[in-house]
Amino acid sequence: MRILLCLFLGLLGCSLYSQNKETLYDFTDLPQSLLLNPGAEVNFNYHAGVPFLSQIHVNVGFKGASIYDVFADDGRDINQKIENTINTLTSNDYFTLTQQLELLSFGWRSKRNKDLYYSGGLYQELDLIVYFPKDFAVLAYQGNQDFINVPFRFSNVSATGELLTVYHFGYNKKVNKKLTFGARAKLYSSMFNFRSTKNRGTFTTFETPQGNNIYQHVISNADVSLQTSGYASLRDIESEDNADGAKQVINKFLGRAFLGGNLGIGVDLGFSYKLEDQWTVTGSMTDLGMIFYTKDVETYRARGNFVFEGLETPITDENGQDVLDELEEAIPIDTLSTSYAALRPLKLNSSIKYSFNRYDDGTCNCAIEGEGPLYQDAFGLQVFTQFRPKRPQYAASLFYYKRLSSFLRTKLTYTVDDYSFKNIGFLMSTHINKINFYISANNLLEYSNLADARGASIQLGFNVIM
Amino acid sequence: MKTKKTYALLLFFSAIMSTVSCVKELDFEQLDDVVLTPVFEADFIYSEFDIEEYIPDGLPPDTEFTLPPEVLRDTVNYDLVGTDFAVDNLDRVELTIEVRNTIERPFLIQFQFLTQNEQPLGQLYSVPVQAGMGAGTQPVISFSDPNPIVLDNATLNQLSSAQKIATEIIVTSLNTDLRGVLNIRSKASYYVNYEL
Repeated sequence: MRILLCLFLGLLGCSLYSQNKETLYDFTDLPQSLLLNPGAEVNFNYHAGVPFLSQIHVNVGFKGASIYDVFADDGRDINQKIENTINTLTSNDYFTLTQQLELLSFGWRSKRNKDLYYSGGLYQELDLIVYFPKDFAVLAYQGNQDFINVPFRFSNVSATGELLTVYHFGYNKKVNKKLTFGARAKLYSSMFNFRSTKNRGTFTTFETPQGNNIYQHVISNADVSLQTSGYASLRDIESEDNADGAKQVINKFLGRAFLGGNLGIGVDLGFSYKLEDQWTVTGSMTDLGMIFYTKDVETYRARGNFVFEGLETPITDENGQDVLDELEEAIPIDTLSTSYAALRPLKLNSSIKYSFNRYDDGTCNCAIEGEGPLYQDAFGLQVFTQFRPKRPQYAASLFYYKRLSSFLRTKLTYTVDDYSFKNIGFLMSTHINKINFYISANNLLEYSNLADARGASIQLGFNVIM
Repeated sequence: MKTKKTYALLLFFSAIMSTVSCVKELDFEQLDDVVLTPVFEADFIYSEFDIEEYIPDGLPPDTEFTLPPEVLRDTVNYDLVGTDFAVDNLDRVELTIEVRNTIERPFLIQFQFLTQNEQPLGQLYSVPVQAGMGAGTQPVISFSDPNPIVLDNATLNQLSSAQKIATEIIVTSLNTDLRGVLNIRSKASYYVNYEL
């Protein structure tokens, strides 16, 4: 078991990448930096990602706890550890998984206008966030005996998940010596989506000294819904042969990946601005967009109020006999197929950078552009925000960029975020002739024990850059 | 030369990542030891017996009368202890029965678990109810004996085919002058012991 997990996390480790791509942001030696800021400076004339290998990204994050908190082989009773973990976690803690695979990536400098750089491509993304349903975990683990008169809130149930492909095309323009601006149009094709957010209502066991019975169990103003798209038709696949069933599912997903899914549109915007020669500020806003779910949509919604006081005897006409029937009548579960739209998780990045230590090894375009040579070193500060169903996630990083040689460029980051206060990240990018290979990891300090990390990552990819 | 150095560094970096990145001291076999032991409190039976509704018409004041036993008998559906989940995963059930009485007569309340075909299962449970002090007075509160009634795992096994509960209020005789109410309130505490 342990070997399997080791292997699994080891493999995952090889493709892990933080959702906040702090090492890649404004790392202008790599074309992937254009996906984080379409207005990043571009110092190359052409790029092409190796198909399927230009960017592999997986991010797993636990806020509030780690696998180690529960499964550590430390001789303590696991039930005690689970209880401690449940007590420590809040309903704002979450588990998140983001995975991206770049299928195609390309870009070129305009022949007519050297200040224009076009880039485009296609990537697949899986994005999942599940908040910890604290109240119901407590209810399941401890029961309601110690929580009389305390409401269990349905708002604790909050999760979204999406599997989609993104087609994008971007434009990057060096407006003048100081300002570079960029925009990227995106077309989303969603293969599968579910969301259960904005749930309302409570379940409470009230003590009623003057009531009909000792307690009143009350479901109050419940409004709980689960929106799905791309699920109903999968459920309808009924095949006796598993292999055949799997094939049908894969075919459906492939069809949706190639623009057959629920479509959406979005835009990325960004800029880089040189305050003075050595100071640069950048900012970007990515995935400002929404997806319209019109096909294969199914929404389950339960609304109502219910009061249970026990079984009345003798039975009168007003009180029936089957509590579950009464509950279903009071809070019916409706299945709807109305379309819905949902915003993509918007991400904001910005940075301020101080560069120093000029170099000129003859590889830059400085002579052509009539500018001074580039810098070998830079340091600065970056901030990152991502909007999530309950509240935004934040991160701030200090970074140091070092161009060790024309072959090897590196970036070191120190990040403070939801998961950790000691997140060290490192990116190394090699440029051998036109062939580029990059690898990056964060949470390096936690690397000796991935299970205790609340979000660890490595990423890698291959490009051809000219 | 530089290229070689770069590759060496890269190799070193990758090697470190793949060897160091491992999972220390985790034991997933602990999952076998996970036991959920929540305690759920839920209302059980409740009833209100207002004597005024039961006084036969046309009887003169201060007349003793008796009620036919079937009038004060009832059967309610209750299959919570009769499910497989309950038999396998309930450690015990504790029944708390509280009776408030203002009628100046003692009562006896009895209940019995039944099968679907109304065959009695397990023992007959009784709650002796002390006489009250009349309408408008503070009710006299009685509890089951023992309080609470504990249905342990062996008893729950015995009750595994229970689908109903029969209840009966027993009183020797009543008087047309008596006034007051008998309130039965009860709850069950379900002690779950669920092994993953």
